[in-house]
Amino acid sequence: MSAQTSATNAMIQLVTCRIGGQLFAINLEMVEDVFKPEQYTPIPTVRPEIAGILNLRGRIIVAINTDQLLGLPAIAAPIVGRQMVNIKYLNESYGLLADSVGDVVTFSVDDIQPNPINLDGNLAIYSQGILRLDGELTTVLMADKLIAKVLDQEAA
Amino acid sequence: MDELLIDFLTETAESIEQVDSKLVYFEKHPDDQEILRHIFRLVHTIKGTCGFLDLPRLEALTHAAENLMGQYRDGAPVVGDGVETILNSIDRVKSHLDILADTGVEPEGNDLDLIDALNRLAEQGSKNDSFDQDPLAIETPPLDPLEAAFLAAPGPDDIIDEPAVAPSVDDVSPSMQKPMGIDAPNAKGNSVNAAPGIRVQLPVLEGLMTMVSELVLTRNQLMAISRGREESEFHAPLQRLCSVTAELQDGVMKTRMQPISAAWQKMPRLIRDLSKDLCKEIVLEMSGEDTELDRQILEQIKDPLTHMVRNAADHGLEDVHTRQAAGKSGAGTVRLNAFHEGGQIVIEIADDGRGLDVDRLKSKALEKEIVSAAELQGMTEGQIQQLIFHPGFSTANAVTSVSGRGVGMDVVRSNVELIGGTIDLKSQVGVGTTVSLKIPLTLAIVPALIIAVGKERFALPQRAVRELVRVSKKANPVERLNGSLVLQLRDHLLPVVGLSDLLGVRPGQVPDEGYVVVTEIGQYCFGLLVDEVFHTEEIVVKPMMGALQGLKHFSGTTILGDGSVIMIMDPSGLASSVAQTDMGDLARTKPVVEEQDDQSVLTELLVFEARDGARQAVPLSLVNRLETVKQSELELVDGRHLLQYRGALMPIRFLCEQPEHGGRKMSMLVFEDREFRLGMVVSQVLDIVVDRMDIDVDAKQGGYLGTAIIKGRATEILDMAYFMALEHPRSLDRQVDYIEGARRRMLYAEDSAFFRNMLIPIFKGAGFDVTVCEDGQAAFQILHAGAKFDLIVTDIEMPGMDGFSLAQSVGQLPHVANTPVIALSSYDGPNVKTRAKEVGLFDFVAKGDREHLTKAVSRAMSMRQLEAA
Repeated sequence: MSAQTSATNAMIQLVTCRIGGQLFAINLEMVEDVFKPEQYTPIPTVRPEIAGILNLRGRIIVAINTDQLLGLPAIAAPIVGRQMVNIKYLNESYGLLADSVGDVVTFSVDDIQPNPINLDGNLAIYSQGILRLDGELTTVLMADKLIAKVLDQEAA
Repeated sequence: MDELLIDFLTETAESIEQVDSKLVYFEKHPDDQEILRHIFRLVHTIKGTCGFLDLPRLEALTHAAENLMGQYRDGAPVVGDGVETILNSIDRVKSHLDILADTGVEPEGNDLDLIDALNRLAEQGSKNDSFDQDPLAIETPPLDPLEAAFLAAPGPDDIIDEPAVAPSVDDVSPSMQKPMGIDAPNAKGNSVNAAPGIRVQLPVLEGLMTMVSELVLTRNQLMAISRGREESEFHAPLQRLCSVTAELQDGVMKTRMQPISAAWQKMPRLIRDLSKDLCKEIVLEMSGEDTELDRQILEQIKDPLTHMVRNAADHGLEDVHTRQAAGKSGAGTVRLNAFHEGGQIVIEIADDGRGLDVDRLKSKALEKEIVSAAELQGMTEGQIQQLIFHPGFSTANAVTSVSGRGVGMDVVRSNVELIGGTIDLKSQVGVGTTVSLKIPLTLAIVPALIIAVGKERFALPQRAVRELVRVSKKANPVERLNGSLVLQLRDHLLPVVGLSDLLGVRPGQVPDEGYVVVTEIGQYCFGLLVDEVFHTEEIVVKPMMGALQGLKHFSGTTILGDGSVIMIMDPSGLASSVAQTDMGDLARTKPVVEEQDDQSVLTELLVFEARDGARQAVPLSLVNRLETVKQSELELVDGRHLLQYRGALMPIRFLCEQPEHGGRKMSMLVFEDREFRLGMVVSQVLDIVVDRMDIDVDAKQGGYLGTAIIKGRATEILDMAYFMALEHPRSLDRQVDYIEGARRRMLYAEDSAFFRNMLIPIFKGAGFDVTVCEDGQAAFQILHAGAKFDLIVTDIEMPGMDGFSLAQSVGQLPHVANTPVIALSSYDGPNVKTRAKEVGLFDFVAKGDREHLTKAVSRAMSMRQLEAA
């Protein structure tokens, strides 16, 4: 899923979601689930990027404040009621909190334009490139890097 | 790697361990044919399989070892060298196997040195054998067919004939290889009388365990749903599901269980080697080998166990001369014992060696600056012994090859605590040391207490919880001591941390009401202040997610019956946060509750039933007599019940409901204080018991000293002084009369909280300003500092300085030498009386004899007045 895949006809399916008002897209292959959390448990003393934990059909999911992580303006809305994109990473489940989750769209890899060099550093490290979706600029998120970052910070 | 090879490796690893321990046994019992044949078969199997799998180097080595053992089996005398060499060969085989497991091929090179040695021994053996027939050989039982077949095979003899030639695969005839490979499983089957079994890969079991955990969760969820609907048709099937799940859980747990002997198997060998290295005679005793525990835990305690056995043999046991000089048998004993106790496994490692030398520990601790001299002063022997678990503490003077390599007992302890176990140590100089480990049966499912702070719930593993105390601002409050929270728990101050503070929720606030969970982790004992305590639940421990690791207060997550996820608190993590705060020291000097219990006084109590079946008690010594009285005999005057009793009016108080029917007989306790009498009507006199009376919960209302546990039941203790004062206000006035207005100063030393509570009001009522000390030492310090008193009242039995010593010391302080000392004791004997005279006591009063006490006090005061005049 890295940016080097440049075979002309390669198509990818992306899940679109809105985080902090901006449009993002995540490779469908990485997405396990999209759901609305009904309850969650905050964890005291944990870093602000981690919103809490919740139970999805017997699996424990760590909810991630995606906006915080991406350096976007924080949303005051409660977690319950927002949507969550569930990503499996190293056999554990992480839920990226999003304002809303849209449709699955199919694009050719070629349509993804490289990151503009002036893209915010916080975003650039997670961005595979930029798409134009219905006229709106959409950042293709590398969700695995995002989660790796969460894990990494803990180690640091 | 080849599957056959993997099977071989696992199987061989087991056999080798067995060979190890059997050989050690054999060395001591060379005439045990059964054991020899067993070893022979094990080695034989390994050799056979090696041939089959084309592992020439291993095969050659085991072949030579087997050869020598064959000789022994046939009756050649066993020499120490022989067993040693075989053991060495086994070690070599082990190291080859390790390499084989890593790389899949045998290491390069050969083992000619060992093979030569083995062959030489075998040759000697056979020569000896031919000269003088060992009687054992004649008694040799008939060989089993396998061995017969093996002996008939040409292999071994060829090699004995040419010892210089290293045997290789080529030397071993094919005719021999084949039967071995095939016979191997048979041999195993014959030798071990185990139930038939199959080998299951570990991940399969782990997977099964996970599934069961999920099932338990789902069941809990269903239970939570059904709790609300009693009549549901799901009820019966759900019950079935419950029991089946429980059984399944047990069953799967069992598959993970291994007898502890798996960890002990190498101990005989270890002890044997140690006794050689250290030149000590060591006997190893093991019991409870069948005790089973989770294999995950077993793995984790293997190393700590080995370390402790090493320690016991090296540091614990003395050498032969020292032992004999101390009048012990020359051979030291290391004893391993395992058993179940209260849902935990207890493993004891005991030696009968020199024990821990407390003085040496002290000097060592000072030298290493682990504790200060002042801290040492206040530590009990047990606490000092615990110091060996402190990081950087090693008692061995010299580093030996065996232990004392910087890895100390602290590592052992942290390993044990990692799996939720605790470690304890008991030692007596000259008698020995016993280390006991308490280890949970399994890590996967643990009972936990569900607690809450604010809206958030947490699970606290039950193993860390000692007791629960309800606290509120009004009664039993959590107090602030220089910013730190403390709770008066019985007779000591318990450091308390607010869970909300630790977790950064509402920092600095103390709730008006809540619970203190008394938590004990290793040497730390502290209270955890929480808002709510719910129930206990068997929780399925889910490991911490990667992103959450590093949170020191939590050890995992779990899903509750209602489907919500909560965090599992890590008691060790909590303890370490407590230790970092200023309260660390307070928490560390763990109050030794039991010891104090032993010293507190047994009191005879009259237990009776009061209102609504409540149990209440009053010290028997205060009760003058028991009477029965009818309601109709009572007269109601000015709102008070009075009874004509022995020619005077006695006020009556009801501790129970007044019966509707006037003619019913009621039980009444009669109390008498000089000419003042008081009757208390109770619903029923239950019993007279002798028990300790430690008031756990202070009273909410007047008339009661508080609540104590009497014979296992919560019982309120009556404060007779209160009732007496209420009914006979003059009873106090009269006492004041004795001393003509001016208030006197009294020093009262008493370690029992109960008697303090009981007597202080009386003394105060008698017109004294009472200065209270909880032991003789404290009282002496006050006196020594120059304070003067009119009267000293002291308990005899007190920890540290007792009443006699206090009286004696008082006599030596010039400014208080004339102060009368009245001693109280619950023990009354001629010896005590003599002693009392010796130390110049003014009077000696039995505890609870209030009349005598009051008289003694007034006599002392009159004397003092005379002196003053």
